[in-house]
Amino acid sequence: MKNGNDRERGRGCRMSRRELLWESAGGFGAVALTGMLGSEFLAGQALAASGAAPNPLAGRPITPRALGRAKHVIFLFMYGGPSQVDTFDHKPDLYALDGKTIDVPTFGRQGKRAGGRVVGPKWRFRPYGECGKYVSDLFPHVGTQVDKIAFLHSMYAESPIHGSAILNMNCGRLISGHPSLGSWVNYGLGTINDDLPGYVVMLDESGGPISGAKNWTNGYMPASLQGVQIRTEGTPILGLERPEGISDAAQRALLDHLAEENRLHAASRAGNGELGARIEQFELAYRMQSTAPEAVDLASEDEATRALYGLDREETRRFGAKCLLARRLVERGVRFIQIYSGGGHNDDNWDAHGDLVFNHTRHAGRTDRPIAALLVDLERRGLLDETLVVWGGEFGRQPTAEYDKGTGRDHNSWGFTMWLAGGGIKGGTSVGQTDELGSKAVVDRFHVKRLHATILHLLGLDPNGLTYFFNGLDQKLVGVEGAEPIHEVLA
Amino acid sequence: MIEGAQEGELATQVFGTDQWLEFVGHLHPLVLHMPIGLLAASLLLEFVSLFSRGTIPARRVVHAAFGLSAVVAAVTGWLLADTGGYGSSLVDEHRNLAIVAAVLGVIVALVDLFGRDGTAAFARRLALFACAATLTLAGHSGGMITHGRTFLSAVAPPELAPWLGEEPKERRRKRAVLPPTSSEPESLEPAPERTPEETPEETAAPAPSPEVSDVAILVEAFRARCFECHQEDKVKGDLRLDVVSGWPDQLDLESPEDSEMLYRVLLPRDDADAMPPKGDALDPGAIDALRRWIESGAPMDELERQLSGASEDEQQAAADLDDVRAMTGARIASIAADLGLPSASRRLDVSWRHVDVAPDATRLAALGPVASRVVDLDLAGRSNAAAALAGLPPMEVLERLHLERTDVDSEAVEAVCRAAPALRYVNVHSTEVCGAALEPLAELEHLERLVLFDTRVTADEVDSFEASRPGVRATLGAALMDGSAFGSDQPRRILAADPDEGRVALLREIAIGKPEVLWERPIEGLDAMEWRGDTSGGHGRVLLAEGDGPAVVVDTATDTVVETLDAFEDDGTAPVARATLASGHRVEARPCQAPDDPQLVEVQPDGDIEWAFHDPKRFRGDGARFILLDGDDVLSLRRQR
Repeated sequence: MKNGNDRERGRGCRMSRRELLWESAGGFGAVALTGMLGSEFLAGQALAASGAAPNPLAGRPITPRALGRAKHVIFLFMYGGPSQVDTFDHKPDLYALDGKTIDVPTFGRQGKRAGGRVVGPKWRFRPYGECGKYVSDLFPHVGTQVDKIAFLHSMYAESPIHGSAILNMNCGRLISGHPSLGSWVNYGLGTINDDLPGYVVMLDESGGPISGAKNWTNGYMPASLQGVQIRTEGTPILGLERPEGISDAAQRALLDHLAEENRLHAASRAGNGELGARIEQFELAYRMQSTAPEAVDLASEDEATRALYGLDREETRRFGAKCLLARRLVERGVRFIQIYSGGGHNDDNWDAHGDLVFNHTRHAGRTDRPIAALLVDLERRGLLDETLVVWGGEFGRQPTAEYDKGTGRDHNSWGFTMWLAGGGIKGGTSVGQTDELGSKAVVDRFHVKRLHATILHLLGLDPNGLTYFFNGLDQKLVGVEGAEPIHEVLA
Repeated sequence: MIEGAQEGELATQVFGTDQWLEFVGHLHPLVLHMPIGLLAASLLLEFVSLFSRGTIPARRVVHAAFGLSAVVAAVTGWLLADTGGYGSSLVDEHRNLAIVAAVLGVIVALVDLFGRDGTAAFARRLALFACAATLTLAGHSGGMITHGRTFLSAVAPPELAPWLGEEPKERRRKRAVLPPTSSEPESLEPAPERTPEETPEETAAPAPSPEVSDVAILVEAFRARCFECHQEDKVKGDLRLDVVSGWPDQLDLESPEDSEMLYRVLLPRDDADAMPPKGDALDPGAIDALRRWIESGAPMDELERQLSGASEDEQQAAADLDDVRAMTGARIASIAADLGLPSASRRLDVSWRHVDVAPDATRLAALGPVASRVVDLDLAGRSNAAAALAGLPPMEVLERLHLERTDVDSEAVEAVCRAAPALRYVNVHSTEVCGAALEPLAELEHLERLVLFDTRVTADEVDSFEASRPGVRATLGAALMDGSAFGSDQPRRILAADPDEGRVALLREIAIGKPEVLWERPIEGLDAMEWRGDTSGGHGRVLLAEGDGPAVVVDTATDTVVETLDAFEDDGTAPVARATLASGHRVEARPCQAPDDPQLVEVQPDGDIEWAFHDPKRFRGDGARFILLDGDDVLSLRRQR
């Protein structure tokens, strides 16, 4: 009885607008949803799936001076949590306190502590660029690019534990099951290349981050909004190649037949958007068999560009290749690209619990030049004002030592630094402050969702209006409470 | 699970429970009038019994009957909602209101039957009035379910309409397309009371293509005859026709005549399955339109537009855009920020970047109908862009143009500049464009960004271009400074002085917190200290002003005084101290009135200031002074106690 009721009453719940499109638009084969029917279709919808909310994509009017409209996002994810006071958050007073035990409340994987032994910043800071921003010697190349960058020094997250904090950063929630930022971006903007996924994830060679695919999940959205892993070495996309002995024609026939069967299967299951998404994923995979190898062909880049990204050095080769590939994917219309620096465990990522100097020297050394090169290359090709580059980890690190000996720092979600560049960002700015020890955000504190709101805003989407109807709620990336973009960093 | 379900099914078959429930539910339209009538009687008797005690027994009977009938009506209504294919928030609202009314009715009855004192009378009247109000609202929502949300509001005066439910769609639509300046409060400017058929712009609209008109006819007919039972609030047979999702299951594209929808509307009127079930058959014209539409493959996008109630303007705009898409093969999309606007006024991104169709002059010319809305044109990576641009129609608002990695040359750029005078961003990187293109580009009034990386334009040409067009950022490329130059191979030096300890020293930092001493000299007090002369390498020269003694310049490599300056003379007036250098320049120490006042200046013989120090911390007060040296620059200055 209850099920019967739901079926009769809950049409809003039963089929989202997008699912509806999948089911009804016909021509399953060629549908890359939002691109084909385009924003026109979405805009034609006066109402959201619930029938009551305003058009979720109705954005704010863009002013004529907003020359840089972000169309792409490259999220450089420093997995493990880089230390803010050793990278971009200059705390001159902290050097002198090195080794002294002080009272400063902290909260990390060791729980809450009232104080501890200060580990002074292990690198020098020096001013760069016209803005004179102080950057540590961990990032001498990124330092030269500070005039393109807006630093957010007062970020805070909800959890000091990797698993939940990384979901917080990627999906806006501590718990799993919600769509990731890249899914929201693609949901809102649609694809501009039917032959490549709109959402690409590149992992560190040492492995993925904790929780793996949950970090690029589509959550309750259709599966085609999920991040696709691409590799810069070996096979670009695992499982994509055509099996031996199968010709293109045979594969095409097989896919056509499969699509037909799937369509029949879907016909009697009108509420299940996953079925339409599955057909679409097969088609996308088929098209990618020919497009993906070309997209990842870094050998076609000239020698100077390869050297720019540090492809000629063992240290920077891997991350550099990912950054270069990210630029190529931007040129090919991929909406959202996430690159992980660090993966696996312990010092394979930025999680410097033991030897801070060893850990951060290693990871900054691998990423500094490629990141700066990415900014330079995007800029000279005129892509930077259409591409938003985001740098940061799931949280930062404490000013104090985690253990009695050594320089390792524990997690710190009370205050950390992230930065944004390009895509309508006002370069050479720094907003927010941590306390004089860099332990906690105190001035203009920005929750993670403020960052999310800023990203959506720069893409022309209203963070508080972009909704997806699920479980009886107009879900938003920024949560039901909503969040304002960080206006101070907008150009 | 499965066993349970089968059991339930069996029970239904044996006892026919569902059928009975459904039957009882269908008595709701009959039963619901009982409490309404009795409520009127209740109110009347409540009033009359104030004056005539004789009517009290009658009042009790009527109250009891009212309470009972309200419960019966609510129960039958619930059954009808569950079995009769209703649904939506409106039904929920009706159900909730009716339950409240029934509960209040029962309270009224019980209080009247068992309560005899003044409090009871007060409670009874309160409950009765609350019940009357609730029942009125419940009746209204029930009426809206049966007759449509706009049944009452459509004919109500404009002031009342908002209180009576949704405004009629036609009127709302008209208002939406009014220019923004007329979005005054409703009372000031009532919407025209016209039906769509009467509006002149619609009758004057150009005749749409046959397919368009078929869907329009179809939707109009369905709106009149079918939506009453197959829409959001009432979903008979689990079928909604007011959204596209309901339609595909009713259609058989391979054999249109076998489509359920067509079959049902063609059935003889006395057939139990005939649709619509009441009244005449569907208009033959609408049936033909339906057949033709199915035969043409039942295009859903047009249906979607019709069903969504988009205005004629919007439909026309959308149809135009579809035509343009088909003619050009380009990807055309509204910019995200404009999606809240009417489609006809949305700005467009046009891109051939990742589409299968290569652009050519004809295809670009086909942009004509929407050219006035295109703000972003993207031909990046297309090998025949130059030829295609020959067909570019005038684009008055085009702001961004991507021509990178194409075959465009300076002539093509010049043609584009003529066609698109509003350009703000032009990207021609990795093309054969040369300096000649800068001339027409300089004519672009709004130009802000010009990307010239990997072209034949030279640095000198860019320099003169930027000089002629200040505010435009034209970039040839960008190099990445080698960050290793800042690394540990050039250790930082610190010039440190501590009068308390009586020494000044040049330190070289070999690691953080680990300096080595390059040079050291005792001092007695310290008035001024400055790093002068050669700053590269390990050693350099230091200017020291010690207490009352002369200022000296010391070469740290040899620890010799290379210059001695006259002692500052304090004559009590500004400047407070003065010294003459070997070069003939004077060094003056001036009083510091404001933080920005120069503290120490070097003055040329003709009176011009050679350099000035502004940082008072550097020359005032006690404690140690530090000058940080890095490479060729003095990078920062700090003072610590």
